[in-house]
Amino acid sequence: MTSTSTSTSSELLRAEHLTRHFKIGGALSRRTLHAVDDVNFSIGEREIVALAGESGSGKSTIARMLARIYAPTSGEVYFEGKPVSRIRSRRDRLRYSGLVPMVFQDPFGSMNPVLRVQHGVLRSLKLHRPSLSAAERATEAARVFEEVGLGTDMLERFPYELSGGQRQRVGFAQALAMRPKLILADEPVSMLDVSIRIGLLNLMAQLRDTMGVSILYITHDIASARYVADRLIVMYAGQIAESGPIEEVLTNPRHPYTQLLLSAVPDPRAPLSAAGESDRGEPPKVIDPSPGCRFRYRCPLAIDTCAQVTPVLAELSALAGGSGGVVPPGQHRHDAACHVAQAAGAESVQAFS
Amino acid sequence: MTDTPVLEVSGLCVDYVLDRGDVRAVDDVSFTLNRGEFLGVVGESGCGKSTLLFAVAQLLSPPARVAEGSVKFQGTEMVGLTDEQLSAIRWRDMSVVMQSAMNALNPVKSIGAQFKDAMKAHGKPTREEIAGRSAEVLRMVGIDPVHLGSYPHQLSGGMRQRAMIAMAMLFTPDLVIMDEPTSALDVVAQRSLMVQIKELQVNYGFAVIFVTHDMSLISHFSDRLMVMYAGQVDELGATRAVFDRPLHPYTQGLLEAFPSIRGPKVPLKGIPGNPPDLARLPAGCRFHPRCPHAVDTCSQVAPELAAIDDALVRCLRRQDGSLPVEAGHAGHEGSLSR
Repeated sequence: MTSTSTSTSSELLRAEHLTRHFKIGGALSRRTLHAVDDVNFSIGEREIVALAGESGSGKSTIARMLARIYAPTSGEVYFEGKPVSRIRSRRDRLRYSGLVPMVFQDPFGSMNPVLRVQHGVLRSLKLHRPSLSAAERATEAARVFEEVGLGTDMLERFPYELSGGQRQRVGFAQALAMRPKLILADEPVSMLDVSIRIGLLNLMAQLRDTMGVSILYITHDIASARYVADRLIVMYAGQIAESGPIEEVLTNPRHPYTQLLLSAVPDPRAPLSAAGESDRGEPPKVIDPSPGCRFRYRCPLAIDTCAQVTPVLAELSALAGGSGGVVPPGQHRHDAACHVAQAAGAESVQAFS
Repeated sequence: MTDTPVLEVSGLCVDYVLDRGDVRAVDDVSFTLNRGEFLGVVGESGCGKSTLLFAVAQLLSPPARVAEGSVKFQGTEMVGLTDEQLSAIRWRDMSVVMQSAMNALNPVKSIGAQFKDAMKAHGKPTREEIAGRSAEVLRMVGIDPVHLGSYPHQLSGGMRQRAMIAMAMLFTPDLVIMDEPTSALDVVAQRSLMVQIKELQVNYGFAVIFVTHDMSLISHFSDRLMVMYAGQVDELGATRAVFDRPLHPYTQGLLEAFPSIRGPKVPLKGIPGNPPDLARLPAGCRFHPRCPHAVDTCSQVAPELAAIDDALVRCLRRQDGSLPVEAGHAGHEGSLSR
């Protein structure tokens, strides 16, 4: 489970000022839900980036914008340097969705129950790699099934014959068939039994290490994120609260929300921590927000500025132990969107522990 | 206060009666629950943990039925009671908190109206009594009583679960049965609800049976832990002891399937394979096809639940001593006793 974040990878995807608002209420309503607000991040090659946060924090909306299911309200996604919003032709659309496929949360709802499981794989091969003959498609389907640890005898099965873990593997096989560069995995293990989850997480790490695929791993489970991911992005109320190399963020969380989140993770190996017990854990609704930090209502460290100025994500300090050279932007930096943490600079301020 | 345990379950078997034959979802489960005790029940989906809860609360509906065994609640045999007899006990002395409060609460009635219904079903309280008690229980779970006028959809997920727990507290029951009440919540809300449940339990002295698939969640809250696999109890012991020294290979596997957010990062394997189909159980020990320690006898002889030290374990190799207690979790020892 060695982290590959140390080997500098070149940038695969970059999101700039990515924003998505939804109109809510009736036709005459002018209220707007800010699902994702001004989010900047990048994903490198051969990298697993975990996107964590509570429900409603905008994680899935980001994945859907990257997959071109939603168009951003404003902002842009660049894939291999090219703006995704410029994609027009059917050929380019198919090419992009083949390079950036999605794996869904519910392995029971994402497969047609009356078709054999190989159908999805063969279908995407036909669409995305039209040059292959029928025989080549069958060979390729068998190859990707082997790749995700399913026997080729599984190809002929129906979804009901497979367990949840096996179905999720089919989901990854389907994504792999398109020779992806970045897999968008939206809570891929949260519906699986505990004993099965690790196998899927190991598969994700293996896809990164042997095939060089990058994965955006959307999860609310920080422990599983730590297990597979190289970098962590913590979302709160539609904005990025903190991001950085995962070990660095977990050992030295700087944003009070990250600290709260970590203090709440049940850990049988550690004594019960008393922090955050007065916190009710109510996720905010971001409807027509006024400026200011969205976490300030729950934050014990909030100062006057927090109610007036929206904090921007900014680098706190270059990582210790670096070569002293230039830190590539967005890759190995530890950033937090918090006035108090930024004022403290290299010092860490504890709100929850 | 008497010495009678709140709950005595012995030899309980629950069958699902299906066309292709009966499937035994809960197989010979026995345990006692003392006053004020918190029992955690863990296992994977399909292990029978929810069916067990429903059997204890006598909420089973066809095709499920209690095939054998008894459930004694405060000395009264529950199996075979009529609905009228049960309704006197339910909610007054024993209440249930279900997994999804969104589905368990009535969406077209205010919280207060639902509390009123529950109170009226057990006596003739005055309007003042209803209002007073309803406000009191809401305050107990940290919700402003103004929400008695709110409808379920107006509350957040965490508040709905709290309201469900408040409703379960209306009559200060002796036993509260909880079926994954926190699984739909985010980790921060989950944690705050667990602390709340424990606080109420300590203050009001009711016993809790808490079913979950997430072992780490109850590690700090339950007194005893019961691990279920394929309808049977595999291990039953003091929670701390089970975490520090898991005896059944399945329990060990479950514990080792959780990555930690602290300490050294170690590669984990999980448990290979899948839980068995209850209609086609493997011969011998039900866990042997997935067990790293299985030997030939494991596939032939079905192990009984037997005592090792203070715990009960269903494992042939533990019982005959061929699997030393130290084995299997050596890599875990250091981080556990930290």
